[in-house]
Amino acid sequence: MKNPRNFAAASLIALAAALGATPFVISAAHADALLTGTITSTAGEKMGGVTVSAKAERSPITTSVFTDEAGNYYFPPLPNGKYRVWAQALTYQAANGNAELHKTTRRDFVLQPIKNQEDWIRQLPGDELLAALPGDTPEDYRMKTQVRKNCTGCHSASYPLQHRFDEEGWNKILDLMKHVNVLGVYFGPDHKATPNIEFHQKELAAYLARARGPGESSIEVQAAPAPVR
Amino acid sequence: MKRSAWIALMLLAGASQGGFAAEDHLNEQQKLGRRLFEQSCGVCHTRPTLVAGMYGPELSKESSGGREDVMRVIISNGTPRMPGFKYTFNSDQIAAIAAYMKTMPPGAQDLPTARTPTKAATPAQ
Repeated sequence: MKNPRNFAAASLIALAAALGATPFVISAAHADALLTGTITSTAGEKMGGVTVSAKAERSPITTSVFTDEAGNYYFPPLPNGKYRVWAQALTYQAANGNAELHKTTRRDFVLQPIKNQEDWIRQLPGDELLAALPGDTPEDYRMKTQVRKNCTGCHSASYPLQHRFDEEGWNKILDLMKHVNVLGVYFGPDHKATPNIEFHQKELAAYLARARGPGESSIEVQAAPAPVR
Repeated sequence: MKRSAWIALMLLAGASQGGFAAEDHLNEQQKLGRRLFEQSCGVCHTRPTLVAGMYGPELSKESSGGREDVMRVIISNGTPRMPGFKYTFNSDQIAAIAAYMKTMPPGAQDLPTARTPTKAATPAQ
């Protein structure tokens, strides 16, 4: 490709081919379909602050909006096409649906509250789950502080606390974590263990097993952080 | 011009197909297993970086002698270094992890081998 003109011509052909090979790029030009709807709870209440998302088939892009105080949501104009639509709010099960957009379309959703506490706990964000750990006695408060200091510097509290282990199981987890750095790299058993975890390991394992173990959980889940109604 | 344009077209055709070529052949149970594996098992059984060591052994369809029933028992009850997951996952979820493991080829966690630098072509005289 010695001649610059040849290079320019080849680039133009390549660009045209690229546009032709990705149909959704072309269809994005027709962005005149509106998607709207209302979110209510099973009790019939309009739910504000609910996240509603839409993703077109074969597109990597998800667009999300929030419902207003009256429980209504309005997407900006979206390209025509088939969409997966879903609504989600804390303490509620996600609701899923589909929409084929070529004109203004309504999709209403009714959200069902989560009744199973285990599912609820696993849905909580890390800060909510950390706050729910027991800390009323001096011993529990000390262990809760240890969880915050030793665990949440590298990952959310909801990562380890999604699991349930007995005391022996939590001990095995701590055996690993005291030899892991902030990047998750394991240094081997000869590496000097993190002193803070090593010192509190036995108490910490027992505390975690009471909170997230086989028996009744000591976690005190507060009132549902439900969206504004 | 003609030759260069055809080369550009072929390259682009390959690139645009590549984006849609990654088809997923896992069934629903295996997909669930993959999600749970990545969420809970990967921390010990996959490398956090390309060259970092792992805490646990590499897992594949050949683990536990290739026996899915043994995989389920180990996931449930653990090993001397691994906690059992029977309080975290129900039996269907544990079966899904084992089913996904049976799709995992061995050697996926092998360290990348150093490449021998190729000698640059001698320019034509």
